[in-house]
Amino acid sequence: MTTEQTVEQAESQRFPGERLQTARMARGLTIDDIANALHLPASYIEALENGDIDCLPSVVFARGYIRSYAKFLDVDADEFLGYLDEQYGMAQRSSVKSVTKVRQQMKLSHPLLRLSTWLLLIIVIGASIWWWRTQHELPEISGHSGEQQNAISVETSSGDTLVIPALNDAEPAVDEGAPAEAVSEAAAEEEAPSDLTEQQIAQLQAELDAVEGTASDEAAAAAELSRLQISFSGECWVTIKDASGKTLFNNVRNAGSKVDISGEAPFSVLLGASAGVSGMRFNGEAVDVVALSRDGMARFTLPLD
Amino acid sequence: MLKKIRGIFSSDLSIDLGTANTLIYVRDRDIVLNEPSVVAIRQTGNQKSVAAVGSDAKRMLGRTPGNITAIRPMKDGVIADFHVTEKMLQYFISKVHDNSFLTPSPRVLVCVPCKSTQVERRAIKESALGAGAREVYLIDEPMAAAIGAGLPVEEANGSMVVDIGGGTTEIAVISLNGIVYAESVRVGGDRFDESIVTYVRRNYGSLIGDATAERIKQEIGTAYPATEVREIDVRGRNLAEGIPRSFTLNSNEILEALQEPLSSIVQAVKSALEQCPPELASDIAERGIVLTGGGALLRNIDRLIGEETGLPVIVAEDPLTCVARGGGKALEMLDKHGFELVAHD
Repeated sequence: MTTEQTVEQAESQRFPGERLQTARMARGLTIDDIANALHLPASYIEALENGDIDCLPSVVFARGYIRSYAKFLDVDADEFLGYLDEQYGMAQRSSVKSVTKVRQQMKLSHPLLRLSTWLLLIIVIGASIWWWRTQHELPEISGHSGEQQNAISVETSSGDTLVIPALNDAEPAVDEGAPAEAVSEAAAEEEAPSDLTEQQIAQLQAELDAVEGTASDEAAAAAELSRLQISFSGECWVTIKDASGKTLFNNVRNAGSKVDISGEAPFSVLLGASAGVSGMRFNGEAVDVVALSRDGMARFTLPLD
Repeated sequence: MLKKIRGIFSSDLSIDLGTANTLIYVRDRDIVLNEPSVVAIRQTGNQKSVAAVGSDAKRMLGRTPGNITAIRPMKDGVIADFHVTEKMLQYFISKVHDNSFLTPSPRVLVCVPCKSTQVERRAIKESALGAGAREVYLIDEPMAAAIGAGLPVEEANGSMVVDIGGGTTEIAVISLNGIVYAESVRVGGDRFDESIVTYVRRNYGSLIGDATAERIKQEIGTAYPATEVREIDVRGRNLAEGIPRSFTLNSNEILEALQEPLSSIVQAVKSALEQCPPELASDIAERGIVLTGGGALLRNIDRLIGEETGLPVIVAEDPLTCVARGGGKALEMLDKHGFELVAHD
């Protein structure tokens, strides 16, 4: 009895196996009785009572043995198991959570989730539409502006049409041809005032002024526009923006193709593969692309500073 | 494609589709659902609709009017009514997710009895797919039970697990992540209830329902003679008089009633030990047999098996949820170790 007491004292900090031992002795049972009843080796029972949990096969089995032993002695097993939880970090099994609890958890996030998903969807759709539009509209815009700049038609009140073909041509004036004759005819009429009343002359004069005014406005606009011509010997991505930041051209050009556009200077030019550019002229002056390119790419502003 | 997108919003599930109870373990969230596998079907004209599922439906069992039938779609651990099982799974999966915005499409691991046939496995797989699962993996029930009980399944060391479910009892010897020997007997909690009903009819001339029988089993049922005798008052319809009568049952009577199904389980355990390779048998003798499943909650069943085999027997912690938790752990291991643990069909 005294030896058992010393063992108890020495292991008071460890697994409270001595309580199992005390309970066993209170019932007047020996270790062998327990071993026979639980069909466990006597060494396991001793290990349990001495707190040598590490001598047992594993913590899972140790817990099982402790429960069986406690049940056999009719003592509460929880305090012993609680000790094992502390020492071996085996978390107490949470009991089955009720489903209503889950429902509450989900309900909190439910409208939020729904809203954010819809927002995300709308953003994705919006972004893809925007992207699609930018991809498909750009060539159209540049095509339109090119046409407009190639030929400007002016309609006179008499129903005739004046066509001013190229704005930045060397001779920006009125083209030779039928529409121009209309103007000269009108001028000729002015030179023969004898057949006309004062009123008619005034009307004609006003009309002529109007025609000349339009023509001179166009000429002034033409003078401000700059012209950029690029010819290619290889595939190259070209982006050209004018002074207002409007994209004039944004596409890939192949070998042999050309870009000829005009717009308001300065142009910001981006060439994806400057090696593919065989020649560039800005307002008739050659531009040295090789000097401007870095790592095969060229990004510069025309006119050059 | 749509299933994949919906899958992002769904969590992986491990389902213990049992005869008596269905448990769902959600990855990283523990067991979230534990409901009886019962569905109540309402019939209006030729139209059939689900009236209740789970515990609501279980309360209706044996108490339904003509137009409602409460069905237990699982029998002996396998599907008895395919469509009703599908509906039930669908309900449980959506209940766990509770998100009406997107129909959940989770990866699902379902536990199947180890001796189920290809047809039965296929049926379980199909019904889970029909319930909205994106991918379905099957795992042998005893394997899941062993993992859930915390047994060292990956070690070269034999572990014996006896999973006493509602419909079947699965006995398996596991070593190195694989099943060395498995046996499945169609005896479980349901058979215990039936035996109690039969015993009461024979000895008291009274008829009791399954629900009452289950209550008797839970409250005073025992598998091994105990010093303490418990009693319970029950009411049943007297067959001779046709009038409900009250009578008292004690635990020794229930022990007698349960003798037959219990001896089948003991027999199966013994034959498993017989068939077991000697090395593994010695491992089991050293460490003991582990009991899981709802049947392990029957009082003194560990004592009975221990006395009959002479081996140490321990009841796993939280035996009811072992299989579902083990399935959950297997699901987590699935990503790390591949398909080693999952049954191939």
